[in-house]
Amino acid sequence: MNRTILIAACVFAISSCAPSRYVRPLEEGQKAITGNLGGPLIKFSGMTIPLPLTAISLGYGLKDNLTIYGGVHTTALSFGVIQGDFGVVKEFIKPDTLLKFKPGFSMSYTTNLLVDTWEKNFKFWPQIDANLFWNFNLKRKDYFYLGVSNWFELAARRAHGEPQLNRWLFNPQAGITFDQPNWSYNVEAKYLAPNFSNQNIVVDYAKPWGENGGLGIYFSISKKF
Amino acid sequence: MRFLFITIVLFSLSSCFRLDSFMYNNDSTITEYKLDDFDDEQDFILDDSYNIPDDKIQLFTLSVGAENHEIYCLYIGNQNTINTDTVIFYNHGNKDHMDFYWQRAKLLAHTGGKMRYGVMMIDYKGYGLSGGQSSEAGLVEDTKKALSWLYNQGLRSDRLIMYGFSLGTCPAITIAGDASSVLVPARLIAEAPFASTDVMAADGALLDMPGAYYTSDRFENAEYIKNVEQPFLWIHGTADDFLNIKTHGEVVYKNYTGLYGQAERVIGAGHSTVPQTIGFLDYNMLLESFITKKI
Repeated sequence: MNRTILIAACVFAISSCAPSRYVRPLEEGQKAITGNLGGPLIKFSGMTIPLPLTAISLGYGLKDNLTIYGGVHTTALSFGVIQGDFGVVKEFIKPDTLLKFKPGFSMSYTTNLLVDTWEKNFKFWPQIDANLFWNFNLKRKDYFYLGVSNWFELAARRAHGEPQLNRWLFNPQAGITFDQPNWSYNVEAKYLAPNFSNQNIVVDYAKPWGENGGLGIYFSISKKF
Repeated sequence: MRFLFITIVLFSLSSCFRLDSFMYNNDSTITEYKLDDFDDEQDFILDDSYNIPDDKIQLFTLSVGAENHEIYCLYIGNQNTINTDTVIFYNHGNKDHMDFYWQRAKLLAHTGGKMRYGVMMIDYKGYGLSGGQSSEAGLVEDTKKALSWLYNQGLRSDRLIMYGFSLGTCPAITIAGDASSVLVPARLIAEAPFASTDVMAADGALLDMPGAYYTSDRFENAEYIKNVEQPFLWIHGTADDFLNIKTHGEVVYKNYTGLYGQAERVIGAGHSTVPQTIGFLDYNMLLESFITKKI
């Protein structure tokens, strides 16, 4: 069997299909629409490329430190799989505006939902992210962040009644956001599932760090209004 | 509103794509079968001692399905003695066409000695010179058509051995468990079987993701094997870096509940290197001992 199948098998590698929705909440009453592009790096036809996974999301600032959001994954949609997510992010510690080295801290909870239009298979996975972020350009509120994204598999059994092998996927991440009044741009890198072997599976992920995990690269652009 | 509009448009465009064709890595660009003269990439090339006399190689076509697609078939042995011979039916994997698997077919023809058994192989629809499109149902349909041909030549189920490799384990296991098939093999051999597309998806995504999210083909070997009663030989490389022995092969073998199961976990073998890793002579001896074992 040839590895061209890999592209099929990892199109919905969902734990790695989108960057963090929000690290720093929107301002109260502010809305934003965001487009994402990117995914895990895979080896395909002799090249290393990021999977071109796309998503669109909406966010709304309930309070200055609390934003709700929801998104739809357009690549999955084009294959007849309705993949959505919704969640909330709360800023617990504001970054120090005078001492740049003192970070802000936020956490988010997201519910990820999938159902296919073919057999109506429904699945959902909860996700909890935590991020530290530092302002580095106070005029424009640009910031970079370090954090971790955690996905939880709730199904006790996998296909054919076999015991579930993977209950917790954590993905360390780092990103930078250039934040202008009406627009913002983000680049994020994730070290995907470093607690799992990337060997002997159907997907030929790029393996920049040896035999565990993979690397994902994501780009986002947001319009705020 | 714009977001809603975009979502509706995208949803209306959804269901356009399925990834079924990615299951098949077929090459339909050839103009002829070259067999020993095929010089593209192959898993291994046997030395001259494994050559088959030209008069013992028959290439022919069969017409399949309502659309009468022609599929190409290859028989190694004497067609005139099929009514008394034992035949190994080889369901090849998902790559290219029969030229790629010719060396494997020749190797099988040396099980128990040169041409001790007849060997038959086909190119499924969409492979090599065979017409039509590949599909899970097509693999089974094409194999059944070839078995009907063998039946008409005088083969009976007690003299049929089915051997599936990788993708080919799907029709082999399906038919071995299908009592309504015109021929049902007396023994089943599966090399590097996959459990299902569900397991492929879960292995790739690391989460319990249904295979239906990306393909209509299910390849439920781990379920179909439950219908198999005949003696079963499972062979899998412990270093199979494509179909993990633990998540695929072990599950198929565990679900087999028939008369006699034999597991051969080949230490250090990859997905396509079982015969070379065992050694060709020992590989043939392994098969011969399973086929002739009194059960």
